[in-house]
Amino acid sequence: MKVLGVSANYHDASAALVVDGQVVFSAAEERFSRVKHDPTLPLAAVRACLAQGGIAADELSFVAYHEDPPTKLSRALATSLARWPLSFGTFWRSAKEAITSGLWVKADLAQALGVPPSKVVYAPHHASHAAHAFLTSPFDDAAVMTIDAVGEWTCSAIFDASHVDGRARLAPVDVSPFPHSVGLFYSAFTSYLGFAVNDGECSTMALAAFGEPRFVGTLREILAIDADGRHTLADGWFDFRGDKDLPVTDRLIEALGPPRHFRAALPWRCDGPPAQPPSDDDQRFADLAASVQRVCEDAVLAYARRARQLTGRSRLCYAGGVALNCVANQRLLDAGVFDTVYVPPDPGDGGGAMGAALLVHDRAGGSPPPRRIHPFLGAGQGDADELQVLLDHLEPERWHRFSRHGLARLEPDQVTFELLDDPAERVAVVIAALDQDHVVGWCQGRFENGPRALGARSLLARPDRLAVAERLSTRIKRRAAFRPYAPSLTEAEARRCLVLDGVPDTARWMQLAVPVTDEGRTRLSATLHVDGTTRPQIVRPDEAPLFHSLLVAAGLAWGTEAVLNTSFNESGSPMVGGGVDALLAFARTDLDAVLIGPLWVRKQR
Amino acid sequence: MNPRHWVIRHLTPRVWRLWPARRQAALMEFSAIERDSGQQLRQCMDLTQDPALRGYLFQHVLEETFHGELFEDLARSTADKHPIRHVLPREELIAPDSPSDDIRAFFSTVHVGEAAVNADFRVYAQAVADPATRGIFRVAGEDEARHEADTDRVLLQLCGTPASARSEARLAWRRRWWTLYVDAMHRVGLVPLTLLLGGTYLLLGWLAVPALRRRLRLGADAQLTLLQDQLDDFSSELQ
Repeated sequence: MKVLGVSANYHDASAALVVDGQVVFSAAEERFSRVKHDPTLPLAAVRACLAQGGIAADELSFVAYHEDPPTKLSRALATSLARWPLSFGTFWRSAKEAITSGLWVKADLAQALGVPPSKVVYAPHHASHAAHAFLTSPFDDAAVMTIDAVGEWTCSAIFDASHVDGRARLAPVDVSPFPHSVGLFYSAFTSYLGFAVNDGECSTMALAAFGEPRFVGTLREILAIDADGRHTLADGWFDFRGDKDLPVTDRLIEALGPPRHFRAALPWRCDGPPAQPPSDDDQRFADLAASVQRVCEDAVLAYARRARQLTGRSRLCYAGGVALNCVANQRLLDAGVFDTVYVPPDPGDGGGAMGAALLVHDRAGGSPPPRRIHPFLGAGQGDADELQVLLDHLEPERWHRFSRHGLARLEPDQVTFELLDDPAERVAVVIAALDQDHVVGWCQGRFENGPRALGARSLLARPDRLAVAERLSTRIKRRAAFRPYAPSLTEAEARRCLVLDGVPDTARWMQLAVPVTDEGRTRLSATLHVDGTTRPQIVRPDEAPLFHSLLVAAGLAWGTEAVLNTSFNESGSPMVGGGVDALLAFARTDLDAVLIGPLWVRKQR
Repeated sequence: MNPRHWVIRHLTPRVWRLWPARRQAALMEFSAIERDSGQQLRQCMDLTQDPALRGYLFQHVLEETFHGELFEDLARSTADKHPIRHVLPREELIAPDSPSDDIRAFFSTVHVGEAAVNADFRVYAQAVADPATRGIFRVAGEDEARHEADTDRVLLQLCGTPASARSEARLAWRRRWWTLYVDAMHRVGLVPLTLLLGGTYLLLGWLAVPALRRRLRLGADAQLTLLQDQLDDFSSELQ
């Protein structure tokens, strides 16, 4: 059975292909279109899926869409009509969106793929998330918790999941209906704090570490958590009808003060004292971020307790956009509500495509699904020979004119390249460059599933060099200084540098904010947040052998089997997809070198 | 005078002065057009094995991406709220079936696009008062003028003869005008759509609002039943 999964029309459109129970491919459209969080129908990702699977569209058994658009429309219309007759603007936007795209997803997909519309099925949004979390986990049975902004009418859900006779049983046992949403609560405050919704939530989480949660009392009035673990969003604080720039009401602004302007600079740094003393407003925003983060964690924890109580299971699978919050995940793990917690590599809407495909595969009676996946499910880096030929025809002397990163003029002979067929040689040159405080782009094999760089499309630096991390922020990534970087490290190094009881799956893909030991503070100094935590990727040799060997070589070179690892992209752009994208980023930024497959390209300065 | 240029010269500066949000939206749209153009050129690199042409395309992508960033930075520098990035409809300029034909069609499309944008940017550079905005239009316009000449040269190489290149360019202009016509008709179509939706809104409101309000107030248990039903229907559909 061959099932194509598709998610689109909100943010992070993706496609995934499941063939006979195996996830063959999964990627976000943004990697191909180069539009960050691209919401459009992921036709390029679909083409890549089919190419990777070596199948034609007419061989597909089903095309699974990650939500039910007509049901979603009913929610949008009900929301907009709730204030009738004063809500025509919102109604017009909802109806126009439905008429021009939302209602025709089945027809659009069928037409684009050349398959009969009967093959296209709509999977409920939270069931897609739940299937993604459970069917890629190593567990035989588990509680499944899904928490995001909203899907159709549901904002959070609990499922009781088990494998019975080779098929999954995934039964919903609780939901939190719209608008009682932890995700909407977090996103609304992300917007209030001047960050972009569905993109800047990580900034809210990072800013929280600089504040005190002194607004928790007020925020608990807004997002109330009852003794049974349910959460309720109070009336009168938010306006989610979508016709306002900021989804908060005057009442909220009166209670918490004016929102932050998106261009106002924040003075904090992860690696030291603030650039200048924070103003009262700066501190208010940090305190508010800390309060929002605390209340979000409380809601997640309470709902997890409810999941444990309702299902009686000892293991938790967790997905939905809120599962990207690694600080909340850490608190969930530390609380010990469940023996272990599993979060898939792409728990947000991007993973909905894979979830929908796995759910359809399971419900249609396909063979048993995979019990564990790895994240390297995207497209490869491209042909090194073609790239090598291209390098002869670049014009590095012109690159500086088209860079915003203060790139100095290069002469043609200052960009050199060589082909390194021996993987050990590749590791050696990268380690040597990192040891000289260079920042290296690492583009190896198939790219990662999800928003985090896990050693396929990464920018690497030494993990103990603060000055290099600062150059990375200012001249390559253009990233705020209060946002921390993450380390990739071996399991042996993790035992030395991290305060971690064993290595849970959630620590393999940067999904926890783990406290660091005293020794780790020195060894991983460039990847620490101000609260003394870091967001590790603990690399397994069987999952990423070349990347793991790089970490081992790092241990030989500077005594720590770790590198600073951040996504290979520039601010506002998605992570690079293929080798040409990596070369473009190399040309536009102050990046010192890039390794694309066996091709080693350097700026000689 | 080209009526579009007349509008840019005489109306746009006034509109932008009166409605700064409109200026910001327009700058973000320019940014999206330039980035999208860069992305199309990037895709075109996969259609050719000619290293020199790939090298040219690489440089062209850098330039278009840079223009996109200039416009976005300018929009951001004066905005009150996060500028919304436009996502342009994906024009399937490159079909996977016939690369050699498509690369000619693609290049002719790029060429006429450069010509049109170059002309527009020249007019914008003269019309707008703000020096920073004018400067960006001037810089981008100069690059687009060079791109127009470059793509003309590449199109001639790809087509083999000037007559064939002119023919491709004519087809590309027709495609561009057709796209503009469809876009204009789409906008015209919004008028009856709005009237229709207005009537529906009044009628729906009168008939359905009490039920919809009740739907919004459904408790968790009722919603859970609905999710279970939804999942059951979904499973039956697959059998």
